[in-house]
Amino acid sequence: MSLQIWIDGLFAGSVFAIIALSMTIVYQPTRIMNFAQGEGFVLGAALGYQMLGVWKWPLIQSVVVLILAAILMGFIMERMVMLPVQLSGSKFAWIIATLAAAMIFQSAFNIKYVNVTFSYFDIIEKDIPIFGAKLSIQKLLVILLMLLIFVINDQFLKRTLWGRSIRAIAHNPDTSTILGIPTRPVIKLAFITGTIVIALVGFLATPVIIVAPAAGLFFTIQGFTAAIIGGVGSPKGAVIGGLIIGMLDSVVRSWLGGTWGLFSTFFALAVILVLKPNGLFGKRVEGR
Amino acid sequence: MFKKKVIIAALAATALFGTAVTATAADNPGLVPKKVWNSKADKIKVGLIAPMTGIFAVLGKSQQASLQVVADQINAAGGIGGAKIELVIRDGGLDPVASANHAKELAGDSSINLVVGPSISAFYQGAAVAYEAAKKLNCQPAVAALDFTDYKYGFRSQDFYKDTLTALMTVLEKKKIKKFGMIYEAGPTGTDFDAYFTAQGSKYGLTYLGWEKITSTATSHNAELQKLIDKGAEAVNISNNAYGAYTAKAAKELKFKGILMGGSGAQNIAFHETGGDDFAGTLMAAPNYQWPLRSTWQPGYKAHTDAVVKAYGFNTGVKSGATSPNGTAIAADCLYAYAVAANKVRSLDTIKVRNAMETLDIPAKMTPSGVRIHPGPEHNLYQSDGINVYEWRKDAKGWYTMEVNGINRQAAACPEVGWLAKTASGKALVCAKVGSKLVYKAGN
Repeated sequence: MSLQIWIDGLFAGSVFAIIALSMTIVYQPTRIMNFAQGEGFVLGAALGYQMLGVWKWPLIQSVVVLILAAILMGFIMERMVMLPVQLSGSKFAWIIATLAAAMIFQSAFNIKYVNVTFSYFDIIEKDIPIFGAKLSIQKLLVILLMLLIFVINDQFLKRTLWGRSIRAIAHNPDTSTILGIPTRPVIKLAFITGTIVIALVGFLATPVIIVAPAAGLFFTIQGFTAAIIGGVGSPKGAVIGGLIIGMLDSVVRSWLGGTWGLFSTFFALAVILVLKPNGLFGKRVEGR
Repeated sequence: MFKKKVIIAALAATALFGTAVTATAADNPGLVPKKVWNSKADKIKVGLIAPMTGIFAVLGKSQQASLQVVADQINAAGGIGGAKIELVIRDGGLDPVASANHAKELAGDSSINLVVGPSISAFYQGAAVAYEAAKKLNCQPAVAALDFTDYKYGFRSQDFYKDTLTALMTVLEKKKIKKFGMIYEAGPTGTDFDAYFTAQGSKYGLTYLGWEKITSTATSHNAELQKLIDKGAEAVNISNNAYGAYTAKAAKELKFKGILMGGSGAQNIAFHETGGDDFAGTLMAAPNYQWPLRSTWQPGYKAHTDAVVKAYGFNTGVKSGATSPNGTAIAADCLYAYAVAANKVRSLDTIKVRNAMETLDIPAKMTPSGVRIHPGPEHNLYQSDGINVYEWRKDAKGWYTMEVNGINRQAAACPEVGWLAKTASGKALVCAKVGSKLVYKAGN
């Protein structure tokens, strides 16, 4: 099996890992798996296409606008999800609320971009040869972004007041509120941060993979699967889960054929859930 | 009494003769069928079931655009028998159940005269049951598989996959390719393609290396292409939908030296975007697609495409600069053929229009697609003589196509040594250099 297959798997795994990380960022203070999270990926792809591809804007300017747009989307998404959850009082309201948010954003992208598959040039059009295989700089940037986000998130959670607030809310939201931790601003911050993270990977990965305006739910499912395998709520689990499904898919498709990739992913999910019901690095969480 | 019988016999003979003539002579409806009779109906409803949202929305939106353009043109010319055409849109997404339910709804609606869609062969299989039971006339611009002789009320306005694959294998043989394989989605269309390549490949001196199945969840086709390269593939048949663009990208990344080939889906600029300059050389078998040809367009194709571009614009790939109109003329042919058939029999009765559609013979220069429409009992609007094979090329002016097989006509220009074409009577030609000039000589 060629080294290229492993490199492709590492790249795909890094994409899924970042998506899972962004879902984990939202999950920690809310215990909500946001099914609209993948729309942030499409936002990154769409703005990359518009700013770099169509308008030919400089990279820095495009990244700044992307982050501002992601902040806005995260803010709107928080309201679309948390408001129905808070108003309804049902512990299942988040499911329909996040799906509805996904559908609304997907429709908006579909209306704006008819007949468009997002694509634009690599930021640096160069390949690094590795023992006969090659790794493009664009793929390398995504892999580095995954590592960077993991480290920053880890240090943020451990070393900052806001990070410790998130951990406290994740551990016990009611007690956190009684102790005066500002739950709602922390939740807003989580939605905004999660959207920035996933928008950045959409922005960087789109020159390599095919992203259509309605592809958000696909990326959500991949991130969700990675998060479940790694353990819901665990950043380390999100990264490992993402890498597992990316590598497994690539290697198994090369070994057994294309249709076995998806099968192997969900087979691995089933096996892990039987052996470790909370995922590889997850902890048992009481439902609310 | 005798005189009356003679008159009746004469009228019957005239009617019979007239029918025979219309069955064999070419129809001449003009670029836009005009009002030539009075149906006494206010409107004609045409259903469209297509993916209007989701990843294949590009298909549904393009079909809608082309149908609306034809509807507007016919309505402006007085309608069909004075009745104005109204589109009824149903979003089937990529959901076979939703598509089948929409088909049931529209099949059961007596106010609907014609249904276009649902796209995708597997989806149509489910819908066709409802259409046949309700005797609902329908036309399919995105169903490549299935044999339409099985359907009394269904017509296909796409290339039949056997014609497409035959045309491609013919070109591979002439290019002296020996081994080829296929990368295609797992599903009924891929199964049909695989069976046909397996059964027919050897007739063209080709060794078929098999089918590497893909799914919509893969983010790279490098693994699949590498397997075929390892087996010695010199050509690879790629998927018709946007996911086939991953194969184009894999060819670029793995520096595949062989030939990629596909159906009409390879006109999607997503392929140029992902494949980059390496996509040059890719073969595309399709009913007439004149947009990227650097030659004069057929009048009907030009009229339709100009109207589509005026109303809906065209797309430009930001990386490749390749362009494509926001319409699909083969969908327009469904409504155009229906209008011509209804005008021919001066009726909106399903059976009469169906019978008239079977006997249509509309020259290529008039139809929106630029392809001759003559469905016959096979119910294929385009027969094998309407399928061309194009080769994608790129130069300083951008992307364009060249006809590789020139099935219908002798190519006007002789572009380079070794270029293959055919005369109108089907004799093979090859482009050769004589002195300083390039001219066609008799080929093999």
